[in-house]
Amino acid sequence: MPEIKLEHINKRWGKFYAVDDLSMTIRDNAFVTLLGPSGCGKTTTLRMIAGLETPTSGKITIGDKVVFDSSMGINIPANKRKVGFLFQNYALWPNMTVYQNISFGLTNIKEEMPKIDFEAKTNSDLVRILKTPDEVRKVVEECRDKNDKIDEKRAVLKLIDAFTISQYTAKTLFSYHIEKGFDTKSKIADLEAKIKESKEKNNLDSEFRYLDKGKVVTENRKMNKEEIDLAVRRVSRIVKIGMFMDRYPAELSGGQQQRVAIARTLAPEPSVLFMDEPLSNLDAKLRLEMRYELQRLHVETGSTFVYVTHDQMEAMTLASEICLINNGVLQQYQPPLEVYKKPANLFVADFVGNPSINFIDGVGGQNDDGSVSLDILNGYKAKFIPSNSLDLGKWRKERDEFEGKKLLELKAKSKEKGYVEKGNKDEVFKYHIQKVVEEDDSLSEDPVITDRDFVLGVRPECLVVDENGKLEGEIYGAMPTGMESTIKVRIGDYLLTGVIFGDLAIRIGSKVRLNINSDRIMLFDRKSGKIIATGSLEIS
Amino acid sequence: MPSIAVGVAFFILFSGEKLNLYNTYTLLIIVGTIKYIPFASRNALNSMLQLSGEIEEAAIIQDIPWTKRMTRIIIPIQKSSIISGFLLPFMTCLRELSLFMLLCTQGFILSTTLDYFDEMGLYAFSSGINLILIITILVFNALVNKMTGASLDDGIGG
Repeated sequence: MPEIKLEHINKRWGKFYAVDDLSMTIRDNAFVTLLGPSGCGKTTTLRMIAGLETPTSGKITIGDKVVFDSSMGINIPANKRKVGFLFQNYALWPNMTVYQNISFGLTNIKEEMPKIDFEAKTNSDLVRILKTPDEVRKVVEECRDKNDKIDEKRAVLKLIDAFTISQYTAKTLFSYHIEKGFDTKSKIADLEAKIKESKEKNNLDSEFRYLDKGKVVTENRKMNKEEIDLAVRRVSRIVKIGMFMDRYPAELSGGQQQRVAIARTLAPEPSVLFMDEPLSNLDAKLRLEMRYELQRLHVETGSTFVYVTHDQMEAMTLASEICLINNGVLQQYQPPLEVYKKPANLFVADFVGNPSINFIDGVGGQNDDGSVSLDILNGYKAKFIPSNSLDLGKWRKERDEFEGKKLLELKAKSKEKGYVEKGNKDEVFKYHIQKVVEEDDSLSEDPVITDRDFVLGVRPECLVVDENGKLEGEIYGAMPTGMESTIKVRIGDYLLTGVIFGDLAIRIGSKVRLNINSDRIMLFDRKSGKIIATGSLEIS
Repeated sequence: MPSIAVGVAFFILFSGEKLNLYNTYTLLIIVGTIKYIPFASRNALNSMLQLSGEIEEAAIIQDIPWTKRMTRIIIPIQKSSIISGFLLPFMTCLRELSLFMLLCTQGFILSTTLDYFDEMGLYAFSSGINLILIITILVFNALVNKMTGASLDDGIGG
């Protein structure tokens, strides 16, 4: 089973780096979401893995096969990588019916497959079903229309679903007209004789594969129409589109089209499945429904999923790992809850979570006992107590060493032949501090940031309304949804967002006291934007 | 570009001693193609550009060979614009006189024959030929309208 490995992937157009030195490993059977704001290079990354886009440099390995290596000059085209790709606008072929859309790719497969005697197989299927004629009769009888005639199309569809057979077998079965008193016993005997005959003649095993000296004979062949039909029915059952098989894509709703697109991608049983914002065209309710279906699909198929989205909710709920990208640079690659609990930097903290995190500027330094004293929110004194022991001096030294190393590497790189400077420079993320009166700081000079400057990250759920709370504020806005209410509290000039559960009656303008009560407060370094530690906060 | 100018150019080019195609269908086909290819290709090109690349990429990913992609996906989708791209210039070409006038003898094709009878004062004959032309073109026009929705009435851009 494949594991996808990217090593130092670069993709640039002129001076613009869409993907900058990306290295990551997607383990087998993972559900990885590539998450980031629009234009950050996530779709480009996905298309590069699938082979629809050529990286400028780097190496991509799928399984044990190198599919792209710029230094070796390897570039295996997309059609030989054996992956599935689900496009954002579905890209269904409008001139084909749903059935043709799904089966078209299958008719083209030519691979080493076991040789099977299909006639005998079909006969045995028929025998199996004919042994329970009552069930067949029941299914067929359900399909009487108002004139008391049996609707053949519907009956065949029902038979297909009831007995997991292909439409050809179902048609044969229907043509027996069991409901009119067909003599099943003699037919069974007849079919069984046929099966026995071909078994003896061709040396078949129990699944009707040809045997040669106890081994299954394989041959390089195309798929039989029976096999194709079974495959189409199998995927259409997964996404529940059995009743639309004869329609054209234009006659389907958006959600149905998407399910057809999923079915088409699944039909050849790819072990790797790429999805490019597949849910972005759907309405909110359907999106939620499809999200569950994708999750189920991942479990059922056992394939590796790589999923591109800009919707952080989708990424959080679906993924086994989130890969956050900004400006072409990998920010963090960890399971969703890790990303939520311990974001690597200010950007990640801001991007993940809804409503988004509160940032509070703080100035101060470390005490002897390891805690960090900070002045926050114009006049409050706070003490940050890290969960694990923290040595700020050492941390800063490591940070500076890392930055220095990065600079050196960049310098070395820039001397290489053919190096192009990155036009879209990386900057420390400009976090947003909510204030009552928003200042336009685009014209003012950047403040000089020292090592005494910190940023606190407080998730909305960490704010607690508490009578004995240390922070005194006023409700600035409230959005109750029934289950929880999102409130904005004004503290001095600053605004903090909080989430409180239950249907508390909140009046705008009323005074509240707040407490920050959690051991999941994050302390960021303002200079580099990186996280220093997580811990709890004491306000006095 | 006036048709007669194109005709003159090809008359000079192809009536030398070494390369003499005067009064052959080959020459008429070459000239007709060159004169009308912009109209035909513009039509097809525009609709080709509107086709999203992902339609084909979806097929590439499934390892469908080029020929099959063309014959089963692209051409069926583009069917109407390809047919109209062919038939509309074809109809205009049918009634073309000045382009072919210098390149063949007078009885060679319908429009030049018509011109001949006209000059001779045999108006009944020329009217008959004219009727054949008009009916043929009307039939084709109706066909194109019905099959593709594109129409000569809206112009083919030239």
